[in-house]
Amino acid sequence: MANSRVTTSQKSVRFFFQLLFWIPVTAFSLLLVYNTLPYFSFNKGFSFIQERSILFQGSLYNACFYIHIFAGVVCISTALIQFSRYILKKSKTIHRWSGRLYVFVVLFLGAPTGLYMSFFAKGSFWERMLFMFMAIWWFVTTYYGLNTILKKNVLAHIILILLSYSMSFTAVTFRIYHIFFFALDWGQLENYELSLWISVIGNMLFAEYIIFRQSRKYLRSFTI
Amino acid sequence: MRSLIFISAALMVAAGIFGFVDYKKKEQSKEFKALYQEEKPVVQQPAPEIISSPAPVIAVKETSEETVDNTKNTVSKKAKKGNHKRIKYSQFSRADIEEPAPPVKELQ
Repeated sequence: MANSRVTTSQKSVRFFFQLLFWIPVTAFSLLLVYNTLPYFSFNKGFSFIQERSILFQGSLYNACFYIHIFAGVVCISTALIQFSRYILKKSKTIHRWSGRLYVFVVLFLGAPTGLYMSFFAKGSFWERMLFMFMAIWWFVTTYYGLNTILKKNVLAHIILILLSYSMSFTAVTFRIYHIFFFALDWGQLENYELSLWISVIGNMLFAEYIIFRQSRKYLRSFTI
Repeated sequence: MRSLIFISAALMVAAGIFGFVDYKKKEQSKEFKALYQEEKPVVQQPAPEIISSPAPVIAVKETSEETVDNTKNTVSKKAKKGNHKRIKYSQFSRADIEEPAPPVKELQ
């Protein structure tokens, strides 16, 4: 029989580390949402828009941009609810409906507009290819995440949605690295490119690590 | 359900095709080539001061020394202050982070 004090302390340590992870994730996600909202004034005075003023002359790029940032806001907001075990236990309908919203927004709005905009992304050829990969990988993982839950394969669903969310969350991690490298006095373009690569690869590796840990726990449950 | 997936896949293909076509159209233009190129800051040389007033030579010397001393002090103070960068919440975006311009004092 396990010592109850030990298990309690283990649980509290786990809870502490979960808080340590989720508080910054939530805070940065909300900050991203907060900073995106002013763009819906459709004012062209933002430095991001001014830098790409030639691209914003085209109506398709203009439309894609606003749809994409709207999709980003919805994805980041809904994903925060999706990972809550409390909500999942208390009310599955919230999880289901926010999941449907997330999938719809990614498949119909976020990924296609992201793919279109990737052709005009900042950086060299390889950064554009990375943006294309992100859009396609985001689409594929979200699609299979939906497909697996429709087939009642919960484990595969968790893995695939985690991979999908790792792509959504690059929006947040990119900004963190971007500010970090700015503080280190990096040039604008180098900073942009490096932040982009680190955020994408870093998020993918982190997602893989979580999947590895989860699968180890799952496989351990079969041992006698 | 399948129709929805077909529509989203069609959207992805259309986005890829439109993106490629638009990119090829814009690729040749000079404006597009110069789109993300960083502008190097132009360093302006301070113009030599021309004293036009017929003031006595000694008085001019005194004032110029004072102004030089003042500027030296302000520069050294600014250099000390400017070592750490201030980051605002609004800079948490994909746009280039611009350093705030130093405040310019009006000459009296």
